[in-house]
Order: sequence, then structure tokens, then C-alpha cells
Amino acid sequence: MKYMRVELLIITASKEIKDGELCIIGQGIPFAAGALAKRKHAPNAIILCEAGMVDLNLFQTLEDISDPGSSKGFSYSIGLFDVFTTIANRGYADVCILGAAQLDKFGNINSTVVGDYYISNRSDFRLSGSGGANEFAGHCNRTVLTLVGGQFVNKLDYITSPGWLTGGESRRKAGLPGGPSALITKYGLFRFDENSKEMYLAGLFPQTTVEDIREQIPWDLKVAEDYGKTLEKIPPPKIEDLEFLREFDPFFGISAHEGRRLQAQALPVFYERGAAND
Amino acid sequence: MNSENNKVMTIKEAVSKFVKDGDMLNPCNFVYAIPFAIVHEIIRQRKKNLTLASNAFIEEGDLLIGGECVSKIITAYSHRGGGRRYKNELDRALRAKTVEIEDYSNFTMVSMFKAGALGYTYMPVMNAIKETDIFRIRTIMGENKFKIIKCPFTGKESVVVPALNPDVGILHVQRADKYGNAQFWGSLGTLKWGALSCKKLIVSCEEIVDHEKIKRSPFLTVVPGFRVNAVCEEPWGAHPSELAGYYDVDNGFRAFYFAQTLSKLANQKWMQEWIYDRKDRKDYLDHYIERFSKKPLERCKVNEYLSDQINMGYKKKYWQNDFCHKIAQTREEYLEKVEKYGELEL
Repeated sequence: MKYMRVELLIITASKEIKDGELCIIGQGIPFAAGALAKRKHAPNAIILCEAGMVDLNLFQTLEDISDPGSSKGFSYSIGLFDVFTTIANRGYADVCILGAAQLDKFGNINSTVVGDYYISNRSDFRLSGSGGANEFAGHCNRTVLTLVGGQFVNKLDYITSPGWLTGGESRRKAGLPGGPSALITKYGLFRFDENSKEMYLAGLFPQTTVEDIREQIPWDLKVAEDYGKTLEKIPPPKIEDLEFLREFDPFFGISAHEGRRLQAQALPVFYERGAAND
Repeated sequence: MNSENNKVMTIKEAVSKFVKDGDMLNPCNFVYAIPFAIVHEIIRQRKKNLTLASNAFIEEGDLLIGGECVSKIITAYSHRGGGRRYKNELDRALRAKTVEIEDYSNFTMVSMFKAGALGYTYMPVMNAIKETDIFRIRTIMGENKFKIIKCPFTGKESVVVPALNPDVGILHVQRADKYGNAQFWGSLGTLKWGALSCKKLIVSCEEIVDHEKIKRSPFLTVVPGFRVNAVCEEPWGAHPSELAGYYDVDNGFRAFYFAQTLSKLANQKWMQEWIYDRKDRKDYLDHYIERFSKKPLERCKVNEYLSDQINMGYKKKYWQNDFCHKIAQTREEYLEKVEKYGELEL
């Protein structure tokens, strides 16, 4: 059976959530990582999203960060303000999983704009903006980042959310707890050196070489061996995990682009079939 | 409450009465249950020069921009539902310099609304923002986007945001009574603080229900009637977004929208068909059914998952059958005491 790199990305990200942890999930792929973790190794994890639905048990993907119908109920219904203050600001958020569009070597995130902020050039375009990312990345005890369609850059076009800032002690000096602990792309798993806070390649996906990854990264990427560690070979996904993910969201097995194309065709299909049946 | 408190009207009346050119407008629902029926009417009435102050928006922002209703945007999030390849009205308007944008995060944005709702002039926020370009790059709000003050108790630096009180808020909820007591559930997001920060409120709802029904579950009321200016019954008022207990996202229709609005011209054509040429929400739904049949809408209806009934309870009365349980006296005994202790003659 074939599978998409995104599917292995989600499975790898889900392993970053430990049982019993309070985990904040961001838009998109993190929903699936949280649901898979809860299904597999972390049944007692508390999954919540910024819109204020706490203790979700998702049976399929949220259509957006505020979609209440993809879990059969949840335990605690609060507003967004309370999520950030009574949970994140008080230090109760063990981990957050966030998607990024542009990343630098210290795990700082741009999710606001590609190119110039004022969209002066034809190639410049807006991303979605911070949403909840700024304070989650800044105040949760760990940040797990995912990068799917985005890119690594030496300098972000716009710093939306803090990673390890300029590395070393800079984040602690700014008074921020936590920080990025892992980054997962479609090619591998990255971690951050405990002293320099620079990211390094820690795990490699199947049928992928270190060179494949180096080609995507504009700086001289460090790998596990540079820090006296072993580069992990990430195993291919288990069939049961793939089955869960495709039930959770059929987009994963075919790409979001293809999924949306099929969706856009669906209404005329309804129209034709509806007309035939009425 | 008397009949003067009856705020029921059509969305057409409400928008023409309460939304003025140049207003700061807050669509209060957070990514979910978007008040699309009201947004479409604002566009139909060609309101101009609005400042869209919205915690987060999906297509409603694109439509307001496409309808040339908006000249300024203050937000934390603009959903790019069509994916990275999809170039939307926001990009086009920013490039053409017909709108200006100011970026916040969801938390700092809702903090401005909450400060406004509470009647405060500012609010402290979490300090991660200080390390980012959200803090550094300033447009519409200028100097007043953020300030740093010294906490008077700890002496620590504290980032603060100013209060925001939009002129008019629009929201869609499950149900309301004719007085405007609006009940909402599902995903609460930023709706409460967004709405309470506004000077005027237009509420659309799936159903107008008896006041008695509201009183039985007051914890579901997110905005009290005395803050609301207009109540409009509008089934499917949040379509194609979702509303807990009523309907799911109409994914097909949203994908259809994204696929059909890849250029400014295409967006205008879409808006002509689905907004300008439609009289009201009913007409929009009839048009939908005519084009796509009822089936996609039926597919959107959600399964039942009933909230448990709880006993709100109310007390036994002090007086039962001419006996007062509070002081263990018959009415006769009580009236004797009244004669004994009374101070003035009737």
C-alpha cells in the first residue's frame, strides 16, 4: 500500500504527546496528531483547542479551529480568553502542536506574510496571521512544530511567533518559558540542541536521504552526529495508523489539494444526482 | 418587559438602521457560525469605509473586501480556505492599497475587546508578543498598538493593549427571545467579549423562542437582551459555516466558492449571483436548492446528541395554606403581631 509523507509526519508528531499531558492543538495537521495520540499511546491526554473546547475526543478532523461537531461532546466549554490566561499563562499547557509556514534555524515562526508586509510586489502574499500561535509558542511548556507546504529561511519575512529567538539563552532572557522541542517535516524529525538551541536533524523518514533534506535548508544543517547522537531511522507507518488517519480525514491519503478539487466538484454531482432522483 | 422591548425585525431593517458608513464592525463569531446572512445584507446595502475589527475571519472578510465595504482591517487571523495556491480578495486589496491591515494575535485581539467590554481603558497581555513583529510593525493603530508599562506591584515590564469598542457587532446564535437574550453553544471562542465590547448589536438566530425557554437555561445566554438592538430569525443564517446542534460546514459549497473566485472578476460574478441578485436569505436558500437540490443541505444536518436536562429548581413559598413556614405562624397569629409591632396607622 502506498502512503503520503504527510501521514508519516502526523504519526511522528503524535508520538511527541505523552499520556496524561494537556495538549493544545493548532489548525490542520495537529488535530490528527492529537487524535491519533489519544487513540494509541496517550488515552489520558487532554486535547483542547484555542476556541475553548477542552478535552476533545475527535473522531474526524475539525473543519476549522472552532468546529464543535467532530467530537461527541467535550468536558469543559470556555472562551478563548480563558484558554490563554487560565491554562497557558498559568503554565498548565504541557505541549502545543502548531503548523508553520516559514521557519528559521531557531524554530521562530512566520505565519503572517510571504514577502513584504505591505504586499508591494506581485509575489508577496498573506498567510493566515498569528491566530493563537504567538502566545501558545511563547507560553506552553513545549512546542512541537510541523512544516508541510512551508519553507526554511535564513531570515523570516515576518516573525509571528517566538521559537528560541536568537538561540542560546535569548528566550529565557526574554522571560519566556518552554520553547520548541521538535519539528517534523515531510522528510524527517528535527530537534534543538540544548545549548545553542539550533535545530538539527534527529530522524530520517524512509526512502529519504540527508542530502534530500539539506537541499531544502539554506544554512549548513547540523545532524544528530554533530552532537554525538545517533540519527534515528523512522520506520514506515503501521497499516492500522494509516487506516485511522484516512477515516479521520480522507485528504491525508490523497493531498489537501486533490481533496479540495474533489470537493469543489461535489456540488454539481449532487445537483445532477439530486435532479435525477427528484 | 413590555412590548417596546420587542426587537424582532428583518436583517434588512436592522442593517439599514444600525450599520452606518465608516463604522467599526465586529463579526463576533469566532471562525464558527459566521453571521453570513447579516454580512450579505451589509454588502447588498453597499455600506462603505467600514473598519473590520474581527478576531478571525473566513470568507466573510473576503466578501466584505470584495464588496468594497471595508477600508481597514484589524485582525489576528484570515483563513485561507482555498489553500496556498488560492489568491484571495485580501491579497488583491492590499496590493491595490484599497485596504490597510493591522495584525494582532488572537489573544491580544480578544484582550482589546475584553478591556472594551469591561469598561477598562487597557488590558495587560502575555509577553511573548513583545519578541515578535506583531509588536514591532504597526500600521492603523500606530503608537497605540501596544505599550509597555511597569507593573505597579511587581515592578516587572507588562505589555498592554488598548480597549476596543466597535460601533456595531453582528452575531449568529442558535436561539434568542424577542427581547434579544441570545443563547449560544458549541465553540465559544471570542464571541462573548467581542459582542459585549460593541456599542450596538444585531443578533440573527435560527429560531426565536419563548422567553420562558431562555429562563430555563440562562447559562446558555451569551449576550443579554438589554445590550441587543435587533433580533432577526434567519434559519441557515450561518451557512456555509457550521452551528452546533443545527448544521455542519457545507464543504462542497465552500470549495465551490474558492474554486470560483480565483480572480477579482470571478469574485464579483460570484457575489452578483449569490449576494446582489438575492433579495434576502430566503431567496439565497431557494437559489441554492434550485442550483444544487436540497441534498447537500440535508447532508449538513447534524446528528442528535442531546444535552442532559438539569433541574434549575425554584423554592417552596414561605406561605402555604395560610401558614408561614419561615416564622411558623398562622396568618391569624401573624396579623396579631402586625397589630402589635406596627408603627403607623393606615
